[in-house]
Amino acid sequence: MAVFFRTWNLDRLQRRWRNFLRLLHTTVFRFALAYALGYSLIAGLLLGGIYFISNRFAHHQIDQQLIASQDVVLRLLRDDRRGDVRELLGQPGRRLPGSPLLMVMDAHGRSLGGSLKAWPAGVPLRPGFYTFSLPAMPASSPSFWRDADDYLARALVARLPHDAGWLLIAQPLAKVDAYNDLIFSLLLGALILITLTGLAGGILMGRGVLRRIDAVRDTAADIIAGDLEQRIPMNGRRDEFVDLGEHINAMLARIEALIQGMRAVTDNVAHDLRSPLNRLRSRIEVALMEAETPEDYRLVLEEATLELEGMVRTFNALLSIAQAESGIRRENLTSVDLSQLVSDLVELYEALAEEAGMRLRVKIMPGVRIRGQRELLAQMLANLLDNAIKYNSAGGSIEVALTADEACVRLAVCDNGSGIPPEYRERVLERFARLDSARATPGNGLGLALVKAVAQVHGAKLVLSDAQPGLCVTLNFPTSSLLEHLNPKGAFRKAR
Amino acid sequence: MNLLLVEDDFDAAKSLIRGLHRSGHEVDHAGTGTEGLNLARRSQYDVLIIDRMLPELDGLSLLASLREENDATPVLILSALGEVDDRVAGLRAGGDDYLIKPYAFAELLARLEGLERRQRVEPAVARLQVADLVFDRDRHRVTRQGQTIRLQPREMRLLEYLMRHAEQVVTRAMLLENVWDYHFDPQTNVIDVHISRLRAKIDRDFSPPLLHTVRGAGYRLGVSED
Ligand SMILES: Nc1ncnc2c1ncn2[C@@H]1O[C@H](COP(=O)(O)OP(=O)(O)OP(=O)(O)O)[C@@H](O)[C@H]1O
Ligand SMILES: [Mg+2]
Repeated sequence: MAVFFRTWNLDRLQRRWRNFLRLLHTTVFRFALAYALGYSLIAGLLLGGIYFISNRFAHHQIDQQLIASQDVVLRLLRDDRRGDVRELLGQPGRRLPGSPLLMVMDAHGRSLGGSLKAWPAGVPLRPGFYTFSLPAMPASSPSFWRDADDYLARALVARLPHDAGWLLIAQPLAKVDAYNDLIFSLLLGALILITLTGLAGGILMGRGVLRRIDAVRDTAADIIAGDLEQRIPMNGRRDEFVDLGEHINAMLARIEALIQGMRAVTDNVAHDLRSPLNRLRSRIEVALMEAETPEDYRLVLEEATLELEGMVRTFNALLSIAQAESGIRRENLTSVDLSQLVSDLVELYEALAEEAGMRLRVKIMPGVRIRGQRELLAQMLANLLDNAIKYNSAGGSIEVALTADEACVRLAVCDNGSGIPPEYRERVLERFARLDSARATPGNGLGLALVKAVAQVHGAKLVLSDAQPGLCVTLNFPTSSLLEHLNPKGAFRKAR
Repeated sequence: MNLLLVEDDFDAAKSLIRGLHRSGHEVDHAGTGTEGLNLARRSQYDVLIIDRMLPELDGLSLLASLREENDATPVLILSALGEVDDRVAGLRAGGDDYLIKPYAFAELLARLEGLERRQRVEPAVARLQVADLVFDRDRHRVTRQGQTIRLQPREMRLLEYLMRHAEQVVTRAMLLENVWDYHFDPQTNVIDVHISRLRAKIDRDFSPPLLHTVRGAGYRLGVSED
């Protein structure tokens, strides 16, 4: 039990660790890190500059104070040559700016007084500014960042009037340094804060992005595993991820529909070829049992051949549809004289219509051309004419019209037969779809499916409408830019 | 006819050869493209039947090699590839006719005879005659027993094709291809109606009948019955 618990724990830890590593590898995290580093660098330069300038300013201030103090002291000494400096300064109204340390020395090196006991070592007897080490640390504000600086002081040396000796005025730097230290700490703190914020931001953003991406990844994994119905969960604010997700979901829906469509087609094909195969088989088997004379055999074989012929027909029709659906290769696209084609086919079917006691009337605008594939277009029109005759009765009439304007080429085949009820007009375009009323007439239900495929590959809009009574099938081919509807590689592209 | 069949499907070839023998033709058989090319180079055939998918050398390459060597023997291409594009490719490679599997034997036979006939009959011939039926192309006139028969332009072309292939079976698909110049498979009997109309014009008032229906195959224009 304990062992189990531990391994589980370890597992969890490992998983967390892996997730963390993934996080470090996200683009967002890397961006955030790069930004944090960049910002830190800039901030560091900026803050360093501020520190440098304020430091310079503080030192400058001290030097100014020292000069001012020196002026005061020298003036006092000029007035009262022998006076003790301390005494002089003790008098009311004589305050030196910044209350510096003082030391006055005669020409022989004897101290004439001051707050410093002795002339500091390392300060030469020459006028000018110097920095020297204080013998002991003066009581000053405690500082965090102590270093050698804290024991240093700034000194200004001047000659006394009439070569009477030397004057030294000094200011310990400890206070300035404490101030500098404070600024430095603040700046460093800010720098660390910026870097940390950048990192934290990166981690947070990275995790956010990872979570969104994991949702997509998990969905993809489910789909790969076979669950085609999975979709990317859509929640939260509208942002680019939701937008992307919606597009992917739309694509998945389309793919699923296509796959289901394909499944339905395969099922249909299997079913539609299964029945004639079954008939064929039983006929042959029965013949093998019963047939006696060569005549019997001949009869059965002839029937079987007819059955096979029908199957080959179905097969060819299916292949034609598949071919039209898969698109036309560009080199096989030609400029087709549609007027000629329509009149050819009308002429071909006219005899059939007349034989069936129908009138076939045509109205063809001459010289209408479109880019397309002649054989497919002919087969399409043949199917429409075939239907118009097949689902009409003696005395009926059929009208074929080809017209064109700048916008489109319009081909219409109308009859006054039984027509198709509006609710079925979509469905009859599918493979093997036939109306119940058509059961008595021969056919496979593939004609209109081919019409639809050919129309689509030519970018034409197919409309089935009521001819009151009868059916009107209209095709609208776009005159210009037909080529744009056909993918250059020949892949089938849906006309919008 | 003296035929060469290049087909790698041995069973299909065997029954095809039997059928062709029964119809009175001599057949040599090659199972691969290279073998077919060698046979075709060695002897003279009336028609070559070449399957498209062949081992070693595919049918279209074999055909292209022959045409390059200026061998003009008529070629019928057999193919399981049935798209319009494939047919175009086959004819472009130098094929004279294209038949898609599965085909009816009668169709194959009719097309072979059509190809052989095309070799023999001069296309430019302006006057065709079958028994007492005369077709004068220059004057757009058809007569039977001296009487003029009025025909529509398409009926003229139909009759001309049938007369060029007199005494020979012509299938519906061949008629649609050669008279109407379309290659699809018409689901209904559109061609039959045109034939019966033509028949009404050239046969109804005369005897003997010349335009015969051949069951399971097509039509034949000629004097002989059967
Ligand atoms: N002009 C029409 N008038 C009335 N109904 C029609 C017409 N055209 C098609 N239909 C109906 O639509 C169905 C589908 O037509 P489609 O052409 O696809 O198949 P089919 O004619 O039955 O068979 P096939 O065309 O494969 O020989 C038909 O069965 C028929 O019920
Ligand atoms: Mg139909």
